[in-house]
Amino acid sequence: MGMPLEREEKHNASPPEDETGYYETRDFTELYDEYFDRVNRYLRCRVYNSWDADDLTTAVFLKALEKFDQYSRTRPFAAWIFRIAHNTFIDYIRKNREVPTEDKFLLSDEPDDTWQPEQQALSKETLATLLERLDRLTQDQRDVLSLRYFAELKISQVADVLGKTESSVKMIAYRGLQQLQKLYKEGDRNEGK
Amino acid sequence: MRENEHNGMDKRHDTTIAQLLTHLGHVRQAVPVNYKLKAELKQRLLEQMKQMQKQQQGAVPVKRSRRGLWWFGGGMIALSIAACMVFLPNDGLRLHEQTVLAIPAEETARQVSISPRGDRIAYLTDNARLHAYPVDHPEDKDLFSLPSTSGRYESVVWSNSSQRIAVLEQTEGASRLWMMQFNDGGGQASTQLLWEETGAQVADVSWSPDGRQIAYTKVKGDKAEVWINNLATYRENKLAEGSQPDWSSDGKRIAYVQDGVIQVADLTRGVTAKAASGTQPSWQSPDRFTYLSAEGRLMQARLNEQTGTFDTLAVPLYRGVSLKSAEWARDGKHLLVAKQTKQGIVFAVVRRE
Repeated sequence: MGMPLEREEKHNASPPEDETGYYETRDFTELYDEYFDRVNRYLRCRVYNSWDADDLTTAVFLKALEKFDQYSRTRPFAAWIFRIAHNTFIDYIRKNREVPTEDKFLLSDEPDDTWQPEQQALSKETLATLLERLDRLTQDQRDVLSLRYFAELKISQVADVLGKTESSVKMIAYRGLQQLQKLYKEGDRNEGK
Repeated sequence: MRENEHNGMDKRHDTTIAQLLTHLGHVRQAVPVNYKLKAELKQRLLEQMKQMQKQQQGAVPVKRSRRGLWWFGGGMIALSIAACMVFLPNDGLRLHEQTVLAIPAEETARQVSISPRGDRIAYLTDNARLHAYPVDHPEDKDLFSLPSTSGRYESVVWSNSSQRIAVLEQTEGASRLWMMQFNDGGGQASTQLLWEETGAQVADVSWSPDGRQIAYTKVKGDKAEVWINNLATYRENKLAEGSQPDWSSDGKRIAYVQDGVIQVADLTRGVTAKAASGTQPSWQSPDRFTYLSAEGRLMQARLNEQTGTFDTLAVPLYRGVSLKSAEWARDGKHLLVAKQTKQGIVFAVVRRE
């Protein structure tokens, strides 16, 4: 007995969906237009040198294009692109540790005209302070807080990127925030002396 | 309310989690996006997508070229220098005889490289050993043991510093570039992993003059491409389809082979010019390089600044002998050549006046 014709037509009418009903229909350039800002900002919040952050952003999207045929459209693109961004960042950190230290290029502070002059002094200092304090958290806490608040990912997406459970991500985020709060309090106290 | 909450941080009030979250949000919003990069990168991605589409529609297999050298058999291998004095019109390549040099062949070597100053030779053998010795004093040979890995060390490239040697390791599914610190005396090599490429084979590593970047051949399946990798920022860019890249000593040009033709990419102007038919380009100076013709003959290509084209001429070296390779030291004065003989492959260091 064959399948009812009605059901067959319905099957062919729309793209396959998973149980959540999610299906990404946009092409690569549309997704690029939407996600570039978030990825660039995320990497600029994680890397001291904004030139390096921009290079990493380029690397992320070149890799994404190369692997786009492997992207499963039934899963959120945000988690997929930020997994690439996170891994690219981790590789960068690892390689920075391995490149000979006499390479002063890594420590350059070249002028960056993307920062508005009036904002530059205050905002860069604020970001630098935050990065210094984040550096005192554990790697997991840094990764979770950065993906959650700089990349603006949901808990489920953070879990997807890091390969952890949602409950684990929630716990790490909670502890990370507690610790960060403590560091700010200590910092405020020391500055007040 | 939000402003007051933000000011809460500046006024050193006790920080609640809510204030902290607001602060994180404010910091994120304050970080600017590089919109200029966004536009430029989009153009680049669109071009890349076009290339990918063309390839999918009917890719032309790219010849896979590898610069590999082998020693055959054991015994003494003589390093001999061509005893020829050749003076070419237009002040071309003048070669001089150098002292005959002989080294024992203990293992089958895979790859040989000449140091930037042309004063040392390094060669890699099968059992993860690296031999290094001064050209003028081969008896002062240093033997290094490379770290044992699951892969196979396949080629060696002297970095621009005479104190470091890069070794390329191939494993199943990955290529790794290791940097070895060169210490007099040999022993266990001090190495560090510079970079790893998964899913492809890497060959023909060439250093930029500042030592911060490498150009190399990346092979996936039948496709060979020339890539540039910035080892400090991890930025990786595809230069072109092709293989055997060589970086000029002033950092402005990269010569590479594409379908049996040597192309020269001008990195400052962003243009590429066809130079000659041949393989294994090796820069002798910022405006000229040597290469091998299809018959293995040593040729020279010189940039004509006015026209932007390359004038080519044959180098009368080892007439009637087909060379396997010819590599200039960074100083542009010493040339390491390999030729096939009945005993195997003989290496010679030729000094340019």
